[in-house]
Amino acid sequence: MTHKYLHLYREILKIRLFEEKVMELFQEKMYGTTHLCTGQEAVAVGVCSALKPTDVVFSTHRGHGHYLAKGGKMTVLMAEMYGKNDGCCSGRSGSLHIIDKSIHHYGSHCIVGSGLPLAVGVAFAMKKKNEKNLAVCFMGDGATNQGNFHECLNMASLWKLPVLFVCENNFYGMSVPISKCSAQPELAQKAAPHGMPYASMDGMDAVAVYSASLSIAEDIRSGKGPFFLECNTYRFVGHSRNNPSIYRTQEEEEDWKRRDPLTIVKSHIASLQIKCDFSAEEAKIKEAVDEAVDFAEKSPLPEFKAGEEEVFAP
Amino acid sequence: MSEGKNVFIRQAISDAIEEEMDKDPNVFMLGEDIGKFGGAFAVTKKLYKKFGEDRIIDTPICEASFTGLAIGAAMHGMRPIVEIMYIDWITLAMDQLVNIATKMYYCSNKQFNVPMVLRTQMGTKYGNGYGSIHSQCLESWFLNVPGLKVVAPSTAKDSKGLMKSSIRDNNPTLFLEHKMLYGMVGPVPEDEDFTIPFGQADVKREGSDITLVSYSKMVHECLAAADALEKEGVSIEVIDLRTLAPMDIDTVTQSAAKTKNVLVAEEGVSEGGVGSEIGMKIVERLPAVKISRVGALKMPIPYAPVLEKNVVPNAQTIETKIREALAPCTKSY
Repeated sequence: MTHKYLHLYREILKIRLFEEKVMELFQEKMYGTTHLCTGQEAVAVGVCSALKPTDVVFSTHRGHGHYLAKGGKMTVLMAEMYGKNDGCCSGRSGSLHIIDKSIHHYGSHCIVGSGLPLAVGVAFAMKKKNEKNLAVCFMGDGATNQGNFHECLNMASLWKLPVLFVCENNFYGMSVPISKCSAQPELAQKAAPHGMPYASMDGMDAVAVYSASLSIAEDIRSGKGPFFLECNTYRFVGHSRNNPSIYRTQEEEEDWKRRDPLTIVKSHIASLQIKCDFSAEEAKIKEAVDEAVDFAEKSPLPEFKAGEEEVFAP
Repeated sequence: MSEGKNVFIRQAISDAIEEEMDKDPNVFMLGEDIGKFGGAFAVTKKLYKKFGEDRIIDTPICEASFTGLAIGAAMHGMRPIVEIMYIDWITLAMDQLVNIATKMYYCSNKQFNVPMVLRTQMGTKYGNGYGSIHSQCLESWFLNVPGLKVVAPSTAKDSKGLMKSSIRDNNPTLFLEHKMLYGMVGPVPEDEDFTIPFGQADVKREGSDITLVSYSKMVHECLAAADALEKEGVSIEVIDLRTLAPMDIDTVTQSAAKTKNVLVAEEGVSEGGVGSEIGMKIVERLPAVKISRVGALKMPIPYAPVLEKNVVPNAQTIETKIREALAPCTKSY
């Protein structure tokens, strides 16, 4: 049986190598824009590894990591970004609106904060149906300033809904640092007025995030109501594919890179003396990423269909 | 054949919801003050008494998020009926409605659909001075939102039949009530399976000199204008669209082919209004038909009744417009 730390390591590496490939290919092979989560993998992996397959996840514009960590296939995601028929939405949505019901991923919703009401709604339905599932809503630091944020934390708390709100605080909206747009920079504190439990933690350590998520999920499943988890993290790349981080200092970036989630999870593996051939692991995952590219290249273009039956369910 | 029992429109809506809630435990309601208070327009009083706070849910005041909650619940197998108390406040819910609910089916490549009814009410209550943000008719905004059905009944029978269809429809449906219509009485068939399909207009009055096209409260203003002008020997056909999306343009063009003269009457602002879409649809099919429109002036609706009456159309405004439409054309080019 694979030790959990190895699973966490492999998941982080998968996202890291996938995003690197996207960065390389984007200009020639993909369209519009995309937002990579390089550096932030430990949050997606730590949280999603603690979930049941039937738990529902809502994601953001920076959502490739959430998708893959929830069980999404690299092939399907790559094909979607290529705008091909075998993508999760057959090329209708691209990077900004990934949706995959088969893994209970109810959508990356790219308007900041727009996933929260949906997550609260799913949790509402889960509670009505007596399911022991939870709805997880990922968001960034910027979302904590949106109106929806407070409306949703209020309703979730009022009705004790099974929602886990996960804030990936990478300290910048697009280019504006938290200090310039949030009167309360301790984001977890924003949950306090809504009467729900909250915590703030190191989002670069997947083992810590996983461990915290396991116990939080258990509490939520047992009917204790929602939880707000702030995970401090950092993106090692610009806001979007074409966006240089001119608003951050090199010193700051290098400080955070010393806490690379891959480095941290490897040190956990080493501390337990678990045997792992890191080079072999990397080679294996690189091959899988290349297979995903191959799959996307070979996937046919989607056929354009207009008509009421495309827009309205029967 | 009996036309059915006479009920108030508010009761016709309430009866439709009750019957569907009885049939399907997934149907539930949410909105402001719809619980014990019974709703701002008394539509949900008996529903709360019967189904309780488990299924008739009072929300906090947060239109954006409770609309989104309804969408999320619909994605997870429930069938919410969400109320926005005044259509003027639908602005708060626009992101969730337009950017999420109505795009979900297409953009997810049919993985998810959103069987949600968004009920709201619109319009002025003439002389009651509800003012600029409690009196609007904003339905024209929604005509070019793909993925949304828009329903606007004018009678008790149409309200019942269309509400049932709305609840049974598997897509986001905007159900437009009117504050002046709740207290109007009309016959409703007693068959619990009586429904009216979307995209089917109703000829409320037959005539041959001019076709009036309308929906919701303005249908009654059109009928009143038609009654008045009948005394002068004018024969007016009144078509009630009943649903704006999908819209039954075939019934309108059939009538237009007969009368060759169409006046579209709406309570909302005329410019960019529903009439402009209908006019264009007719021109595309019957270019020789004379087309005109009547609607509100393009200004905020003032509070004082003496001011309000100049902005919003009524039966008298429609009468004047009919006369203009029937007068020989004096424009030269």
